[in-house]
Amino acid sequence: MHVMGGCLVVPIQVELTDRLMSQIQRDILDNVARTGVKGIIVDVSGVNILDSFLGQKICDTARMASLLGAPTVVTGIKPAIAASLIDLGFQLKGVEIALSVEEGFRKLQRLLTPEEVEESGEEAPKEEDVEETEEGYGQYEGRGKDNPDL
Amino acid sequence: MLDEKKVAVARDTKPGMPEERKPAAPQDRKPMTRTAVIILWDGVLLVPMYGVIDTKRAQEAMETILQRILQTGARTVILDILGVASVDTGVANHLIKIVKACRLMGSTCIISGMSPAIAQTVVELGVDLGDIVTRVTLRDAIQLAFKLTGWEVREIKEAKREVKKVGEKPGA
Repeated sequence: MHVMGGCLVVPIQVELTDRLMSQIQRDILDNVARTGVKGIIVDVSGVNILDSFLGQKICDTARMASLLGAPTVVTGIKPAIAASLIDLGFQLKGVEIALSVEEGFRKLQRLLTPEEVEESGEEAPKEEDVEETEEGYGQYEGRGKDNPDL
Repeated sequence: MLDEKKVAVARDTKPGMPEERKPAAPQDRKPMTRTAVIILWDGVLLVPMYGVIDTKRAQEAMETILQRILQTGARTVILDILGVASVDTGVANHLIKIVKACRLMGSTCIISGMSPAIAQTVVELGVDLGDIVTRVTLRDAIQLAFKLTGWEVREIKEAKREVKKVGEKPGA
């Protein structure tokens, strides 16, 4: 995940497992509490399978992050996944949703007051603002130092 | 590449059994109706729904709409139900599913073509539309969709208008 324009961007490019999702939840909350970012974008465009359990985890993460002062926008849900989630009766309630990361930024800008966001205006922040704070989630497989309580 | 028909027949045939099964003719695979997703304006899609909305039709409509949202990045979808034969709980639930799925793609779905009859049915049957936005006229739905996507419609007021007759040069 990296910080862009005052917001935490979490791209998920691998298939989500329960364990990985728990890890992501912890990392997001730690990051928010530590850095005080004003918004979060969780991009799931690399995810092909999303069941209601993982969906619930994402919802919970969003609500937890809100309590820490950072609204969350989920982006990149694929059409097939959207259809499956609705069939399962799962709606991702309480979570803002956008089609792309760019739209996610626009949504966050609308949600947050202008003073809280570094970049004002319609354009999404440029890539030069990116600071790599952690590895991408592709490298999380096999990381066993934190044992999740599942 | 193996011809699909040959592979299917070879797999289905057991020794001693007559070859009764034939591969499906291409016509059999076409759906009965096609959902037309109209790009009304930048970021606004219009989907007129007609006739009977059964599970198959609703499924096809939903898939088509979601794909179009992905392709166009549309932020609002107007689902017009003026041409829908009848709205019972089944149809209502199909429509609700489409609206909810659009939301998961980051799009707001507005239902237009509501009538007093449908409004009565929905409430009396206890269908929960939640915060789904509905309108009677397409005009109202379009106005709302434009507002949501950042467009406004203004009347052009001109003092003079040059009406050019056929054959005349402008300014004549």
